[in-house]
Amino acid sequence: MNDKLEKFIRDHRDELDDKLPREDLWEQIQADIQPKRIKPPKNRSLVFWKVAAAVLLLLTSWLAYEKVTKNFQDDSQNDLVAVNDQLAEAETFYTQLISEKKEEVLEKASSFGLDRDFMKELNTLDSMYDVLKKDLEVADQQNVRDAIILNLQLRIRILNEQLKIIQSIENKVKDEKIVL
Amino acid sequence: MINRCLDGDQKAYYQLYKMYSKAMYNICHRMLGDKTRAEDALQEAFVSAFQNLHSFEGRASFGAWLKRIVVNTAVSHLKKRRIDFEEIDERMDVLPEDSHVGQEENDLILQVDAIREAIRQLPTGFRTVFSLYLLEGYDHGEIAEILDISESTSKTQYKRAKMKLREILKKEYHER
Repeated sequence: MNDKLEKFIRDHRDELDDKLPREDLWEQIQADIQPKRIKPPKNRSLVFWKVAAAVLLLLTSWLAYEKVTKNFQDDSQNDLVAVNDQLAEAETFYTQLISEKKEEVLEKASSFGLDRDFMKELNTLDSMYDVLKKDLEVADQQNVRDAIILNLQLRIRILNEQLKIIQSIENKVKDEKIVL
Repeated sequence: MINRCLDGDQKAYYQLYKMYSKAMYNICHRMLGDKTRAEDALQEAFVSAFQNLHSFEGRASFGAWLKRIVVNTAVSHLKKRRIDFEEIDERMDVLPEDSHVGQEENDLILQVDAIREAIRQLPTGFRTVFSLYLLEGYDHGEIAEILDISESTSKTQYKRAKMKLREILKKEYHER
């Protein structure tokens, strides 16, 4: 089989390789072999956020449920602020506090990319509040006043809990940065 | 060098790439027939080789190990395009004896450029078997394994490829 053509090709084997791959191919290869090392922390932080979001959601709903049932069912346990004349004053105070805290929570929640499900709870309370206000116009009753204040307090508690959660996440993120 | 790669030395990876990329790229280019496909296959093969570097046992040379990965990658790219390695041209079923060809060959003036171009013009199946055998130095048993064909198919395909190559060279020569 040792013919002239074969021999010539074998003798000039290296000259047949005349092509070169494009210059930046190495960078692509390098990029493809790198992710293996960077990926694990990426995945871990993703899992962390998923868990954080789930915990937040559970805490929020549990908290709202707990407070609503506890406070509505057991009036004697309420440490409500005395209302009567001061109702208007108390409302102004609480409303302002609520809007300040809400702003803070929303700002931080969005900067962490957190779920805003707790907003649903707040909105529900908000519409309950409107209903209570109308009830009060129809019949001026002490239990309606109590419920209004309770509603406002409840919202503040929810927001405080959110702030606590955000605070703990902030701490964890700091810790993680140090570990990385 | 390989140990340096395994230790995570980026420069060592680059040195291996520098050392082998040209030869490996030409294998891909010959088998796949165009620049983009060849570069895709080359990239895939190098990435796969680097990621599996720990499984290189040093039984063969690194170059031979890498070449096998490159060839297998290129073959799998060809198979995706459903290239049939057993394509049989009926008219060529009767193979002339080698001695016959020997005489014709004297008429051919052999030039590297012309051969390179003629190889490029071979049908993909022929070109693959031809390159693997004559240029990459695999024997017909190995080629049979790589392409998942029988050893005798590899032999016949190689003979036909060589005939076809002569045909192309003759035609090219007369056209000049």
